[in-house]
Amino acid sequence: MTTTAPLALVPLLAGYLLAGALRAGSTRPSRSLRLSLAFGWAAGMASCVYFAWLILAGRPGRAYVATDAALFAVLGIVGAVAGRARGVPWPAEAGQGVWPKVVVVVLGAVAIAMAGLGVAFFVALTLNTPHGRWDATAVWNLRARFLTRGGDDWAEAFHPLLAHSHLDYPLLVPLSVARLWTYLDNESTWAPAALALGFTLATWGLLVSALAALRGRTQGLIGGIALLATPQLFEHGSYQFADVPLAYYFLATLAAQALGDRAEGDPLRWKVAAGMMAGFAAWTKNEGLLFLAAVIAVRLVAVVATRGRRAYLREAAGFALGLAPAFAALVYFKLRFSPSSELLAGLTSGTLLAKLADPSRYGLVIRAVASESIQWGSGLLAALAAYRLLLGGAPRPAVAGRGLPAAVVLALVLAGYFFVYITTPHYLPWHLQWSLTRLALHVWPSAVFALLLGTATPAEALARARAKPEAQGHADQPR
Amino acid sequence: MNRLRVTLGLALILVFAARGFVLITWELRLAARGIGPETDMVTRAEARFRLVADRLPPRGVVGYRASGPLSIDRDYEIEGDDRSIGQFVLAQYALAPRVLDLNPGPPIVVHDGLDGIRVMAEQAR
Repeated sequence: MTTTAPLALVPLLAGYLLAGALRAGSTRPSRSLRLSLAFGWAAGMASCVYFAWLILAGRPGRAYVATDAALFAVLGIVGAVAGRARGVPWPAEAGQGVWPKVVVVVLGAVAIAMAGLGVAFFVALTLNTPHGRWDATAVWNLRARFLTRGGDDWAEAFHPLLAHSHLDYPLLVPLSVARLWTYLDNESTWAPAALALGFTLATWGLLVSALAALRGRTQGLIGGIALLATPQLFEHGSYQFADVPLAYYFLATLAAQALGDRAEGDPLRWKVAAGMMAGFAAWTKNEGLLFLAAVIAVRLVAVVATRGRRAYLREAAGFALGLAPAFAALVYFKLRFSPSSELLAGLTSGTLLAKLADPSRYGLVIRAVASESIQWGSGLLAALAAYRLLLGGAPRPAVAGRGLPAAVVLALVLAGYFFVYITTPHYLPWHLQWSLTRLALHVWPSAVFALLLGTATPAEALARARAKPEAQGHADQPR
Repeated sequence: MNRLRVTLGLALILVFAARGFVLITWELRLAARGIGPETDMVTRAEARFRLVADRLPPRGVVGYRASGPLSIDRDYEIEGDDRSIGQFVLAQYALAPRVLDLNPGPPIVVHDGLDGIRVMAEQAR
């Protein structure tokens, strides 16, 4: 390890300080929310800077390390200045008073124990397969090796003979790994593993802290427990694929939008943050482009319908500003290096129509999706639906409705995935077998977030029970 | 009534949490049994290819033959038997930034057969 290795963490510190500027009036986000957002921002922005350096200056060496660290140090100072005003932590909307504190302590202990066990599981899997699983060696870490080992010929990473390694896949994860190797000055297998663990923990931390900020600590802890009630997150995280980072960016975008909708002070900063996270989603995997389109479409309809066109244009400007760095990198990559997607290769209007008109393909996909839904956490989806029915919706419509845009975005993404399967050029059962669980994982943290955003907290459900008899009592009184 | 519903709801979440806890503990136990670099096929492949890497050019296109026939189909997927596909992916990972070519033509070819790895010049073949 070189003496410059610790400087690789400067973007994380800068992100943490910048996240402090995401205020709402006199309130500030919690430390865990800032840290969870900072991780994704740091990985995304640092990957864009690394890519820009490759294009403009070639092989990243000491000058890159110095410039990169200095750039993020300046951004950190900007963040420290912008967020320096003291503020109180963002208060939870849901009343805590009627809810026994011991239950919160128990839920907290369960959530932390599950996360701890998940980390141990992650480490054990990583020790078994330090280079990651199949796609890590065939695609993600392979690309990182080319970018690092290639020197001034780093563009050999996109040699046409490497088409089998999915040259159209965006570069956030390989660039992040290559960046860490550059700082370390060696190809330690712990670098991609640490990145993968960071994204896994940040996904969990973001779900808990964003739900806590929006709906109270209890709801955050319930979300954290539900997320880890299936081993999928930590298991797939250890594979060193791009699916968990993508799931993180889906969640980060939707959380930033929901937090921005609640923020009363300067919500535009949250829109910029949402744009950045959506851009990083597209810079992580091609599925992120579908997500980006869905987010833009849903916000257009939701904001124009409720707050008018002017409000939307203001929001869209902030979103576009945040989107710009990752989107610029993605456009350059797609135009300069990427072949057309394998999913579109060889697809003619004739074959497309034939597949769309084939009912057996629909049946196959629906059966596979139904099977996956039932098997997911052995009935966990049904349990969460039952939880929603038992506790009911959030009592105030303004709060209950906040989960709806996120749910619609996820529904559109899933619909997109569905039609990709219908039209895939690959042998459909094979394609379903090797990708369906990973696609489900993309939306899993966001689905838990959207569900619990619109569900009553236990305290609210109990308060509603108390309010009903009182209301009845008032109604019985003579007027 | 609502207290019962809330209790049931939380109990449901905790039951699934307990189930998840047991499941992850079980899988952790299974994973812990196999820990060690000798069990990882990528680590083993890296060690095998390290022996021949210095006989290859540091970068550029190099021919490659696995134990079975391989090709890239029009959807960019590797076609062949599972063993040969695995060999090829591991070889490409270990030998990067060299680009492995399954087609005839490159002057230097890596033969990754059942009897070991050999580097052969085009003329020798």
